[in-house]
Amino acid sequence: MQLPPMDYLAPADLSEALAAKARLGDEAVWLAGGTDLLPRAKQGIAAARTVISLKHLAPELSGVRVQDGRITIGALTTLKAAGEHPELSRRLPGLRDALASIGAETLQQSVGTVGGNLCADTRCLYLNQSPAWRAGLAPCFKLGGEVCHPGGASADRCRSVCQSDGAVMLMALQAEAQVASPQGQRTVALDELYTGKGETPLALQADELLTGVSLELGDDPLGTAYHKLALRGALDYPLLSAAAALWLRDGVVSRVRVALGAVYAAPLVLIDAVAPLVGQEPTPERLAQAARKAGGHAEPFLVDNVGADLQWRKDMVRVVVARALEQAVQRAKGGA
Amino acid sequence: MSLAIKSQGLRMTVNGEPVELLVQPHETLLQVLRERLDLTGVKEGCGEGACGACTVLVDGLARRACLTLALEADGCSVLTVEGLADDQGLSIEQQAFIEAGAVQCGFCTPGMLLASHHLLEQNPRPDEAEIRRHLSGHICRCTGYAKIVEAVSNAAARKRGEEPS
Ligand SMILES: Cc1cc2nc3c(=O)[nH]c(=O)nc-3n(C[C@H](O)[C@H](O)[C@H](O)COP(=O)(O)OP(=O)(O)OC[C@H]3O[C@@H](n4cnc5c(N)ncnc54)[C@H](O)[C@@H]3O)c2cc1C
Ligand code: FES
Ligand code: FES
Repeated sequence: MQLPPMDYLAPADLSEALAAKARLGDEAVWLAGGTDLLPRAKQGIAAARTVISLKHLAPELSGVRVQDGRITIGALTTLKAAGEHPELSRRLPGLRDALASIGAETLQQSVGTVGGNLCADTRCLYLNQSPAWRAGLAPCFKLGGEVCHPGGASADRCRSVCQSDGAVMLMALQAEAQVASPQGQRTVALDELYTGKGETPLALQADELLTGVSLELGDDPLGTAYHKLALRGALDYPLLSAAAALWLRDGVVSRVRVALGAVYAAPLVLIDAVAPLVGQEPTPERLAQAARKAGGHAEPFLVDNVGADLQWRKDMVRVVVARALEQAVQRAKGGA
Repeated sequence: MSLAIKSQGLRMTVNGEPVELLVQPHETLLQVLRERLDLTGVKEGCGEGACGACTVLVDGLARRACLTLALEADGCSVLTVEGLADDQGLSIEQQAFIEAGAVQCGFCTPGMLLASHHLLEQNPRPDEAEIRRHLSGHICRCTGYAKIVEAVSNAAARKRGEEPS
């Protein structure tokens, strides 16, 4: 499979990279590990006239820092380096598990990056296909057309989904992204970085680069967990996933966030389903109740777009949320 | 749009030999290794990252050559299956694959060998779960994997100077 012709730049440092992107705007795309971008470029669904390689920026933008109750991960940190960072994996086993679940060891673990995972495009069974496969179908919303194939006749927008495992867990952890442009730095909550629009899932300007992601660990004991359903144990994107972050104070839930992957164009944060847990002891009955509600809330978002039975995915929301919550509670209590 | 795109210089070390050539920016490392350098041990299975047949080591890290722009390897050292054997003969991993019957059609074998080499460089004593995890991104349509896992385990023992159990 051939790539379409493209130009290639490899700026020496961050300021050179930002200047090049500002000059080229939407004509250019960033290249980190390339494991999301290049398959899409081969399929003719990535607008990549010029790629700007981030390889020389790795020393500036890689690494995990733990300081004053905050964890910061450089955008170019590889999935493996982040997931296996001793302090990160001890404090955030859910994030460790989410990153380790991505693809396969020799595919992207040493070359795919956390920033690339956060900025990876949304996906759909009818989109991530060869041009020959797509030729029989009208162009969909994401490609400038006016249909959504899995969405059906009533769909008025793109229903592609976020299948980035790292993004779903970091969303549950209420992380924020650091973004740089020639004008300077800004911080944007992942809640706002993801637009929820399949056509344009990321709220980044054409001249902006994600430089890192960081999150507050909080004062109370924190438990994190990630549960992913995929066709195989490796090489496969989630068909559905749930991430839970739960804080306990004196045995009572002080804060909790749950996000779903492969359901919506952004990691879908479930607010109302888990709100009743706050201020309560996390008994199995209460967790099961929250998981049941989660299933109900997620149902309208799901369409048949990832190559797995739709009813099964609907039924499984309750199951993955229950598993993630139960494990997060165990971990917040100090268990493994 | 694409007419103005210029070739760029690429220098790398491939299997210990320095090479220098002009490439188009959209050429993948897979294309350059196979079509320019005749290193046809690098296989193209899927061309989109999902099979592992094209795996090579770039500066010691496993990469899909089909998803790597050749220019990304500028200044790097690349190892392909052709670089595993030396004047003395096949590498320990290659010998172990043959002895265990871990090769049938052979299409996945170069990727499997490089992944195995990569694993044993980092972990001289992998258990079966670690071997399976490391090879999990490699698809073999022939062997059923059991012989491959056995071969890697035997190669690990040989590399440690022990007899395979
Ligand atoms: C077979 C296969 C299986 C996969 N399985 C999974 C899986 O199970 N789970 C999963 O989550 N992913 C999976 N992936 C997708 C991908 O490998 C990962 O998401 C990976 O983390 C992407 O990182 P990268 O550095 O390679 O990104 P790239 O491909 O380099 O970039 C991804 C996108 O983000 C943009 N970008 C990159 N870095 C930045 C930055 N710093 N600032 C702004 N924009 C940026 C790029 O322009 C591009 O649009 C799979 C891919 C393949 C080919
Ligand atoms: S050809 Fe590169 S992974 Fe299949
Ligand atoms: S030996 Fe034929 S694919 Fe593995």
